[in-house]
Amino acid sequence: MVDHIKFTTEIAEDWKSVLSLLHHDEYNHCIKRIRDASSTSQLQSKLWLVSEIVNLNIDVEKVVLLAGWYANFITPLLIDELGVKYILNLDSDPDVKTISYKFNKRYKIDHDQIENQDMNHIIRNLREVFDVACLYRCEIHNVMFEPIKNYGDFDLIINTSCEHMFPMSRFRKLNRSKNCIYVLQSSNDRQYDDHINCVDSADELADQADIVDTMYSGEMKLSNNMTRYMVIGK
Amino acid sequence: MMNNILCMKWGDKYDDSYVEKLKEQCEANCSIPFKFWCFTDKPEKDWHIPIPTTLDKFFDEERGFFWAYRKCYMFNHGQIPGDNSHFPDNSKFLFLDLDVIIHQDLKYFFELPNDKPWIVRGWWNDIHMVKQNYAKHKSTPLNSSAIVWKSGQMMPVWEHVKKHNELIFFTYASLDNYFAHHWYDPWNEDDGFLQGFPQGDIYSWYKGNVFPDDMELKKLRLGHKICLFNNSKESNDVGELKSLW
Repeated sequence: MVDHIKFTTEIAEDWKSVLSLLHHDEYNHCIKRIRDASSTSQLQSKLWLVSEIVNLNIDVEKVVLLAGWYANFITPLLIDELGVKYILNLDSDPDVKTISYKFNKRYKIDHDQIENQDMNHIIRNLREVFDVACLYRCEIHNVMFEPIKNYGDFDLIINTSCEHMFPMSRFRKLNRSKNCIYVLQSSNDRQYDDHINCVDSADELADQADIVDTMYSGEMKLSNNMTRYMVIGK
Repeated sequence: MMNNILCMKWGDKYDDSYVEKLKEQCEANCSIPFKFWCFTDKPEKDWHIPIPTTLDKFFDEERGFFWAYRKCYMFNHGQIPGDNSHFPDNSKFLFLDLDVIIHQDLKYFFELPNDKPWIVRGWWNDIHMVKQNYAKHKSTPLNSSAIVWKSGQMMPVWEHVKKHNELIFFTYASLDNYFAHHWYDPWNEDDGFLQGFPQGDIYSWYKGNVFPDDMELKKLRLGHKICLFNNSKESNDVGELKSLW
């Protein structure tokens, strides 16, 4: 079981730069959201996610995060525990790009650095070309409205924000060619206005995403008393 | 160029007197020629236009969202060149909600540059809260109580709503919130498809004028063009509005 993040000197440096950013008036409004993204329950749900992927012994190199928010916890966990080589985070909130790049600065890559290049080739030569263990890219993109085919292929599609959006079956219809593994989380906590699509079971979450080959299905009570559901499958 | 003032009435929230009063206000406060039209679910007069129902089946009232999706029909009706149902080509449109008080000459709105459509930018909103709550679909900076456009200019909005109706109605809590996410950019306010009326044009009776310096509620600002009475909490005191007619 994965029960911690490796707090390296590099992470310390990057996370400190997030705090520095908040001194700027332009980013004052992000303080509460960063605090929320750094909560115990956020970490619990990401540790759970990575633990189950480790248990399933899934070989993962390229991951796309749907509505991945600041990807502050999930990025180091995917890299350190699973050896992921490329993480693409797609989120519709314009602030996410700036802040998640701060959190993950050590892996940051911009679109123009990889434009028109074979991602598989880049991954095979990561150390030689970029001298990093992984590349992290973030784009502002509403995944329910536009397909993600222009970003390439992925082994794993992670959406830990299913309660915030339309059922995932729509995403699958928009991206029919994606024959990869889905990792989905949602909750039954209906007290928040932006939880527009809560579920009451992992089965309901799987149904919403047309998952037919379930590799893992479970639920967890988090520290904030929210019950979180997770499904891994195709 | 024909100038049109549009309003919309459906259901029982407002009775016919609101439409008549708005028409009266427009006639008393517009110094250039215009035609007044009302999109309504009970068309009876020659200036009434029946509201279509094509989007009804996609809207789930049980979700509890207050979604003025019927306003989207205005962006399609008679907007295609050659479709002269009610409006000739190259018309200009000013839409007004029924619960507004007009203070100044509406000619101003028809003389605005028409490179982009105009909508109410709620300057009473704290822009920091707008950004903080953007992903939560709250603190919407726009208000669709007044919109200005020229023929066909809002057609992309109609096409988008028509194409993604189920997704849009499911995701966004209101039309204004949808506008703010897809047709406006709170981070770069000059870059959106929609542009906000400048400060000093339109204020809110229940929310104020400009954050943080002029936020007194329930205060008439006669130097402004229009006062809005709508309130997302649906706690409008129609008596207050009527007392100011």
